[in-house]
This record gives sequence, C-alpha cells and structure tokens, in this order.
Amino acid sequence: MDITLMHYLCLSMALFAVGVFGVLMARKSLIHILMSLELMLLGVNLTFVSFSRFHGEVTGQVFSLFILTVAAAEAAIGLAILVVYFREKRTIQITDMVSLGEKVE
Amino acid sequence: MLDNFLMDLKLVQSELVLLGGGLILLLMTLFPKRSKEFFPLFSVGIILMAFAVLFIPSGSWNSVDGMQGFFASLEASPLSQSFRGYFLALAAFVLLVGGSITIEKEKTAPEGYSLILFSITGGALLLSANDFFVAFVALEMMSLSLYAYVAFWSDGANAKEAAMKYFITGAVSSSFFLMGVAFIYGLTGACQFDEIANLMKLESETFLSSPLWYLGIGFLLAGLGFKMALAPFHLWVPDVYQGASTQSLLLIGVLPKLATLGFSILLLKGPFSLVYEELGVAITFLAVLSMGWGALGALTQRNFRRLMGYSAVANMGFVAIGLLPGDEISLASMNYLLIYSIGFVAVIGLVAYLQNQGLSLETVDDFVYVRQVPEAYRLLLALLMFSLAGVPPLAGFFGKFVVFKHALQHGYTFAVFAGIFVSVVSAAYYLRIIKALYFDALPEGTEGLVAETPLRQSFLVYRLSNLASVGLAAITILFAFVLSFL
Repeated sequence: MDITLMHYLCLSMALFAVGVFGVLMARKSLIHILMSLELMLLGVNLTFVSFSRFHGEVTGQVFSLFILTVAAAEAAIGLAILVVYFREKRTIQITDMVSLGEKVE
Repeated sequence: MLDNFLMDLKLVQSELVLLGGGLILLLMTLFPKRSKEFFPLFSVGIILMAFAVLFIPSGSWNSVDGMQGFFASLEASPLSQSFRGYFLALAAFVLLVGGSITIEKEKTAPEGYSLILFSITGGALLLSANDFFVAFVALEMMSLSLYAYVAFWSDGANAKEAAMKYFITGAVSSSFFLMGVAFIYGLTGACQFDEIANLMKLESETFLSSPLWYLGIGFLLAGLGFKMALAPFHLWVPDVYQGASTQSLLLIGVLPKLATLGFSILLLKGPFSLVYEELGVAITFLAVLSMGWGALGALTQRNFRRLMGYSAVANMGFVAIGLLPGDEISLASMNYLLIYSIGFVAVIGLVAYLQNQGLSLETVDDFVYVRQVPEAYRLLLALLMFSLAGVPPLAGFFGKFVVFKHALQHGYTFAVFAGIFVSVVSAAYYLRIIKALYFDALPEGTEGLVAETPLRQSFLVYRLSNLASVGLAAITILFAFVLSFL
C-alpha cells in the first residue's frame, strides 16, 4: 500500500484532535494541558511538512522550524506561569482553579 | 545588497525604536535607584517616538504606498500605516493611564515595561506583515509578552490564575491560527500574501471548490476570533478581566484586539478578497452570537470587571458587523473599535483611580460610594456609561451609527436589527451603574466615610497626567464626530 498525502493529513489531524481534546477534557493537572498544547503544535508541524513535500518546495518545512522555535518559547512561558501559579496557590489541580468565576450566592 | 537592506529597514523603523526601548529598559534593571515616575514616562516617550518615526519614510504615511521589503515579507500600505498609527497612539494612551495607576500603588519594575514594549512591537509588526511567517511570529511576540506580563504584575490575589487561563486559551488559539495557515499553504503552496492573491485570481474556481480552503478560513477565523474575543471563542474574557491587574487589563482589553482586527482587515482586503463576499454569513453569525451572548452575560453580572468583560464581547460583535463585506473595505469596524477602546480605557482607568483613592468598587452596587468623591468624577463616569450604551450626542452612538449604516448599505438587515435590539438590552446594564451612581441611597452609617486617603503630593506629574488623559478621553467621547466619519 502506498502512503499518500491523505495518510499524513489524517495522522496530523488526529494529533491535533488529540491535543484539542486533551485541553478540553483534562481534569487533573495543568501539566496535561501544557502537553496537549505541544501536541496540537506538532500536528500543525506535520501538516506543514507533508504539504511541503506534496508541493515539492521548502516553504512549509521552514515554517515548521519557526513553529518549533516559537513552541519552545511558548512552553517556557507556560511553565514559568505554572511555577508562579504554584507558588501562590500550592496546587496545580485544574479543579482548584475556581477563584475566578461566577460566585453563586 | 547593503543598500537594499538599509532601504528595507525603513519599513521597521518604529518597531526598531520600540525594540531598542525595551532592551534599554531591561538594561536598567542593573541600576535599581530610579524614580518611580521614570519607567512609565520613558515607555510612553518611546512609543511616541515610534509613532513619530512612522511618518518619516517619505514625509507622510500616504506616500509609502505599496512599499515592500525583506523579500516582500513586509509591506507598508497607506491602510496598514494608518492602522499602525492608531495602534501606537492607543498604546501610548493606555500606558499613560495605566502607568499613572501603577505608580500610585508603588509597584513598578523596568522588566514589566520592557515586556509591554515588546508586546507593542509585535502588534505593530503584525500590522505590516505581508507573509504568514511574519504574521505568526509577530502574533506570538505580542501574545507571549502579554501572558508573561499578566502573571508578572498583580494588584489582586488572582492575577496568576488569570494569567494561566489567558495563556491556555491564547496558546490554543495560536494553534488554530497555524492550522488555518497550514491548510491555506497546502492549497496554494505559498505563504506570501501577494502570491496567494495572484494564485487566487488565476485558479479561483479550483480553490473555491476545495474543502481545504474553507477549512483553512474556518481555522483562521477561529484563531483570530479568540484574540478578538468574538463569541464562541470568548470564554476566557470574563475570568481574565476579573483577575488581571488594572494595567494588564487595559493592555489585553485594547491592544491585541486592535492589532488583530487591523490584520484581519488587511487579510480580507489582500489575499482573501475573492472569498470575502462569501464570508458574510459566517461574520453575521459571529457578530450576532457575540452581541447576544455578551449582552445576556453582562445582564446577570454583579462584579464590575466581569460586566466590562461581557460588555467587551458584545462590543466586539458590533465591530464584527462593521467587518461585513461590502463594495470596498469599510473602516466602520476599526472606527467603532477605536471609539470603544478609548471609552473602555477611560472607564477602567477612572475606576482604578477612584479605587486608589480608597473607594471599593468591586460590584455594581458599590458605585453608590462614588458620590463621596468630587462630583466631576461621577458626571464623567455617567457620561462614559452613556457613551458605551450609545446615547446620541456621545461618541458611542456615532460608532454604532456608522457600523449600522455600512451593514444596511450592503443589505445585512438581519444583523442591523439584531444589533439595534442588543443595544437596547445592553443599555440596561450600563444604566444600572448610572442608577447606583445617582439614584440609590447610600447604606446606613456610611455617609461620613469620605475617602480619607490624602492625594500624594510627590506624584504630582502623575496625577496631572491621569487627569489629563481622562479629560482627553472625555473630550474624545463627546466630540468624536471627526473620528466617526473616517
């Protein structure tokens, strides 16, 4: 069986979808969300690279390098915010993020 | 080669000024002995300098028509130059108001201001992008600095949680944006706006019949909608508005929205001009949903900050009405956003100023206490509320008028009727604040509790600049006729 563009696209969309659901469905730790965010970006990267191969030119591959770089910066900032958040609240449970929101009286 | 490079640098003069200013501020952490007034003043000065430098290329911003540089990845058109002008002017205004509030709380650090300057650099760069590379990096530069800034500086207990929520939603939205870019790249094989536009013209039928095109546009709309706080993507807004410090609230409530809206207009006018007509339904949907959800959400809020958050969502719905496709690109949406932003900054700045005077203005009902400070503040707040509600002689009315006129001229009657209906509903929550200001009785035993906190003499400059900027806002709110007929 030949591996075509469609297979790569399905794989990358699956990665992206796993990332989105990971963000939406995470119930335990904020770390899960940060990991899912990375997964979404990886899905995008794979899309770019496979389209780049499909078109036979390099723009997409260069773009995926840019995404990798920015994803690293994003992860750094996300973890830094996580650290300051933990210092203040002493927890990273998602269910504890309730100090903002509608107050039921 | 070198000559070319120097010519290209003309396109990013103002960004270079901003970046340089940010780096100088970072260096200043080495010299901690500085008067507190220095950093905000310095930042405002840098932004004004960047604003002035914007005019230099060849005399005025109208004459750099279509100038491109850096392998055509940046472009300075009259439209993008004027957007950058608005953006920088608004940024200076925000920092003037926000800086004067920060100073009274005696928590300033140069790193925070350098983050702000980096964020503004990203926003200005986004508005001159002619390539998805630049657009993506600029968008990230703007957002990442803001996430860090929200976590960096807190005047309440919950800024860290707000930062976490802002970061997560923002990161998801950038992934959506990128996925949209990936699909459009997959279809066209190009990331450069002019190339995409040319390919669109040549092969419009193949493109328009491809599902990739609509997937791409959909993901792009979702990503940009997150940043602009349009309705199904607005869920972060109330929480972040509630938790963020005043300074960061002013920044996130104004700057990313303006930069993203400007970028969307340039995108719809440039590479996507052929599909723009077909986006009418999608934009109407976003607009009506934003207005409805925002107004209904705001009706039930007691917390003032959350109310302003929902009101921001509703107002972005009106902006989206102005974005509906027409014969030529109408600037009604940008015009509305500018008027709303000035009003928003003035309201939040004024409330924070009164809080610094010792008033507690957490909930809507707390606004009865405003009668304990001089009458002028109460009048100003009421005027600003009437303007946000869109009462005729004030600027908010003209913003809405121009937006509705644009939509009616191009046959979007449904959106206009929905907008008018929502305006009536939304007047209710603005009027509730006015009711608390003028008609509710002070609770028993609090009549004598006039705010005793004396005005601090040492920060005379800041009090003056605060009053001056709020006064400026008031004048703009009252006489925005020129602005509203762009």
